[in-house]
Amino acid sequence: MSNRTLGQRWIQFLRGYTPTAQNDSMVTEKIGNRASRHQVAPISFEHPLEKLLISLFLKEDEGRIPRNALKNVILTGMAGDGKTALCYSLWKKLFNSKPPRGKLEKRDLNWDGNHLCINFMFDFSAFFTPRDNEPLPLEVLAFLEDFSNSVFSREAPESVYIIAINDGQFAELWKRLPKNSPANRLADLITDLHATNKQDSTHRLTFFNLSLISTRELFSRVYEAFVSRPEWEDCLAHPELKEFGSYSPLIRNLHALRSLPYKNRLHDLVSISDGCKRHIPIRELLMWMSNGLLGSKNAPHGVAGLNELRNCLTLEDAHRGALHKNLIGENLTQNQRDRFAMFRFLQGLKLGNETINDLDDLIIFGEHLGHLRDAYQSLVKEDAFQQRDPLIEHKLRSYIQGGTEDDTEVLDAIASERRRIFFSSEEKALTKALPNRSIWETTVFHSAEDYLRHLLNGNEQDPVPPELTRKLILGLNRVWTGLLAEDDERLFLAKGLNLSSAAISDIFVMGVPITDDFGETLISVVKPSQSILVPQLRIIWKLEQVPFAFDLTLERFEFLMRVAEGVMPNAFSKECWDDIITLKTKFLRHMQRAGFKLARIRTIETDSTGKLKSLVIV
Amino acid sequence: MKTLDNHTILGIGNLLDYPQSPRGMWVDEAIWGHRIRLTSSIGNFQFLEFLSVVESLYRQDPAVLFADVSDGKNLTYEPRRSILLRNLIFNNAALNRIENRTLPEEEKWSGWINGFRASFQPTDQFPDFEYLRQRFLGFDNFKEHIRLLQRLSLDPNTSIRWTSRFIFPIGMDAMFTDLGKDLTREAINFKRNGEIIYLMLSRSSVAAELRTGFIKLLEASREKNKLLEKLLPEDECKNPDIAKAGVRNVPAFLPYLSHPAYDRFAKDVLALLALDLPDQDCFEFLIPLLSFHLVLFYLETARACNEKERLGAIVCEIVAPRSDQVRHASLESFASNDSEGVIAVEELLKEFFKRQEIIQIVKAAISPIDKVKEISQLFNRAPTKSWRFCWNLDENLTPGNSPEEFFREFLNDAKLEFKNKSGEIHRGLGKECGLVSRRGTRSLRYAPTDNFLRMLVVTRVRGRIELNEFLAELFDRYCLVIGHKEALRSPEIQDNHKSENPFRKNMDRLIRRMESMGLAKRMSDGCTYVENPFFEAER
Repeated sequence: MSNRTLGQRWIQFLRGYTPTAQNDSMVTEKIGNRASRHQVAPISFEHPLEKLLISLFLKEDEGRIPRNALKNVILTGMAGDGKTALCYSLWKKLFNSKPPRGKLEKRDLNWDGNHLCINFMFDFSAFFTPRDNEPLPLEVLAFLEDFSNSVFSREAPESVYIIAINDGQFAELWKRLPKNSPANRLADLITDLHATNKQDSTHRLTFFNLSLISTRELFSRVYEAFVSRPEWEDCLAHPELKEFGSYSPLIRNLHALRSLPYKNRLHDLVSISDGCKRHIPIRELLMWMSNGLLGSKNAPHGVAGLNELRNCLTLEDAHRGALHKNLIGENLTQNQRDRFAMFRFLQGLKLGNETINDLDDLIIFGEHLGHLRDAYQSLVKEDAFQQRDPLIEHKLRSYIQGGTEDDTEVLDAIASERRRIFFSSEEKALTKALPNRSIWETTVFHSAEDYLRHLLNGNEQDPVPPELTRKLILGLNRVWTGLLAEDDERLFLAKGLNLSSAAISDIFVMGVPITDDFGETLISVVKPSQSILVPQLRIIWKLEQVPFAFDLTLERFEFLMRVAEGVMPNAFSKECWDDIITLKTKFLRHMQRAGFKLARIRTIETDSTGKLKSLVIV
Repeated sequence: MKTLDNHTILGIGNLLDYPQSPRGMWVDEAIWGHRIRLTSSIGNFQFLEFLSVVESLYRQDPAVLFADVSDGKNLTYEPRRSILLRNLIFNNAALNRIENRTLPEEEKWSGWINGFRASFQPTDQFPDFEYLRQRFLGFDNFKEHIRLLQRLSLDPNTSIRWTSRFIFPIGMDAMFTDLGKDLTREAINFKRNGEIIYLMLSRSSVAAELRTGFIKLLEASREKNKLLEKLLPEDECKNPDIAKAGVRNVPAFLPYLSHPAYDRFAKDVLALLALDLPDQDCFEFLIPLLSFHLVLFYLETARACNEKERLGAIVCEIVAPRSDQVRHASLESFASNDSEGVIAVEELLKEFFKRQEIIQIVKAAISPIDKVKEISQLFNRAPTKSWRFCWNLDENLTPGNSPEEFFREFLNDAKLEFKNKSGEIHRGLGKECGLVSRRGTRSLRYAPTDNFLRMLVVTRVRGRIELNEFLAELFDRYCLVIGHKEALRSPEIQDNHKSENPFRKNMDRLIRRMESMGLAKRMSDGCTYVENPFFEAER
């Protein structure tokens, strides 16, 4: 071990983050062992909530918060969200010592001259994991009741609790509480905070749901911590070692990963996972990065170790472990991929399986057609990270010449090429080569670029372009009325004479213009902020009434955009349609609850230009 | 009868008499009532029939709604015939002919009236339509009005005769009954399922609350009813056109005074009404809910007859791309539930043939033919609570030459009748409500549709509930098995189909589907909340 270079030890350590059998680095409690075995430091960065958590106990000058202002803390989230790691950080800050290994640790201390007991529950599942109908052990019940006392007591607390718990365990715990236990009050409070995405309560409890932190924010920290590790420089400094030599996919991947196009694209991908309300925990982001660099199709578990890297001696070997392939999990089996939210999300994206004619023309004919040659050179042939399939030209030639009857191989190669271009191309080159198309059209979300640029990125205050809002309204008008309307200045709310969800809804309820006569905006897109996770469409349907708002997830955005572009709503899955129709019923109910009544029955229909017109019936 | 005399459902104290002597055999009616049957679009028909019962009793006296039959009395009601309205909407080809011609206003009206007179039924009661001309701005306005109502037609593409066509019940004038050729009530499409539903709900413990709920619903429909009233002369608005009972109309019969299915059903209907959905939006969920509960009633009764408690497992496959253990378990549970009915008929009859009165005749010293005659006379009667099964035959038509042959014939005929009658309830109404499907397989199984799942969430979830709790409730209430925990709790599922992983995946597919329908919110791998999009806590 000792005569290995730092780079070699680092690679061995990094394997622990990949989806292999020994992925111990993924668990905070076990990472220390691996790190000391390989004599490298674990990947670390400051968690977005770390400062906030510490500020609940210590002031900025490290002075203590008064005892009466202390709060109990619950840290919840998915496995791998960093609950235990956050507890450890707080422990280190409070006690300036290595965190203990136990599940529950109590520390009695003197806090501003008073006795205070701080209880750390590093992982609740190690304390109690409910099985079948097993009742709550007395020890656990007593713990919950003490905790509940501390939360609801008006006195300065004698005990405070910091508890890391998987959210899935709540329901199992609460189900087992005896009816008369005072902890039931705590159960109601926690369920409410959890389901309504709230952090602060009026009681002595702060509730952090780590799954609500945007994946994008987590990823930018993971990415920086990952690519800036000093061990990489040691790898690059030893090109004489075959594992870090010129055919090593690892080194090629590292260069690619550190490049700007890849960096931006990866950030875009995690951003749209936020837009689809798919949270990816830190553990999986680390896995994604490590697998991206070390993945290799023929290696055991799909992940290369030093030996496999050493055996990479040809262009084909290097291409087998290419980053654009590993990032979508091509090196893994379907079962392995299914275990991770990240890969499940990416598979749903169908990146590279969708296609644009212009891009395919470039890939297939670009080399031979004069007018495509420039674009071909800059986008396809230019292979900055040497990750192009060395056999692709041969495959394309035999495809064009009809030399093969089996298309699968060449189609797979083209799909993979699309992915390589998607990840590795500079924005400028893309705009030049595909002036009228977005590269996101190689995914199921053709409108992702607009969504990223105008709804997710940029300043919170930057307005969303009016043409985008109008397009959304056009889409909504078409789905909500079931008519091929052309109106995009005014939202038409209509229902069926039978059901408000009727496919053709021709009973007019209300029209809401984008801006009213005084220029006040009535329909707007609200960008995500601290309190809302995804953009929302907000409709002020009547002044001085609560506006109606709904989450504009990427799925909904895409559906409405495509409908606005002329695609029939039922060309999509029924779920998309149902989802938007349910929003209408909710809107109508929202209005009904606010006292809205339909004064008369009017129908609407489209005139010859597609504009909606109305006719009074009763 | 052996053990069933004190049974909570089948015990003699819980049974009812039937006032008439039925024609032919009375076996599955004695078990599941007279009658739950199937026809195409039965979901809509039984719902409309139920509404017509509710509307007519409400019209008679709101206080009797759900209170008139709770003690086992026969259901009598006078549904609307609304013949004028139906002529205008469904029997109005004259309107099409006028529509395509450019004529002066006056000629349009007279042309339409002349054309309409030719098809109008009953021919001798053609009304004076002068009032229509006064109410509408012009003929085109009138025509648009009729077109609007025609668009509400249920099953608009069917070639069913016009007296059996219906529009979505937007108001009380549209809650009319099915008519035969002679314009009297007929049980071709209104099979009595709607009446049975009314009886079940009336005998539940929450009948009074249902009364309030349905009165509110009917009152709320007054707004849209104006669309219909505009077409009717004033005196008909005050005195609705009532349908007379046809010659063959016999009262509906629900054999049990109380049944666990009644309360389960009624509470679900009540939960739906409590949501206060806009206008008649709750009908969307009520229609499949009625079918679902008839299936549950049928299954639970069949199992009770077979001395089994509660419902049997209903293993639901959330349709998977490939066949797995959940699919096998689902196919099996469907097949096992499907066979309960015929076993019930067989077991009950075999037991019945051992009655004292019959045994005496079998042992009597008379010729076998005379024995058959005497036994068949015993069965030739009106059913009562102490003699449930009948077989009214012509005297010359006694089947079999010995008691054994008679019993065999009786049993065969009963099974055959069951097959064509109540035997269809499980699969037919199961399909109708979206619980049963053949999607992806050649045999039927429980593979709930999105609409079915939505109905479950909308009825069963008040606000928000954790997924595991939701699944546990579906299991405790309806014996629906979706997740692994419930699979392990079901004794009916074979052990080799009980592995945890396939059921976990099934649950995962459920989450994904519910998430995309806006019914679930996945917080993490281990925690998902199921949310009723329509529930709002009382403010």
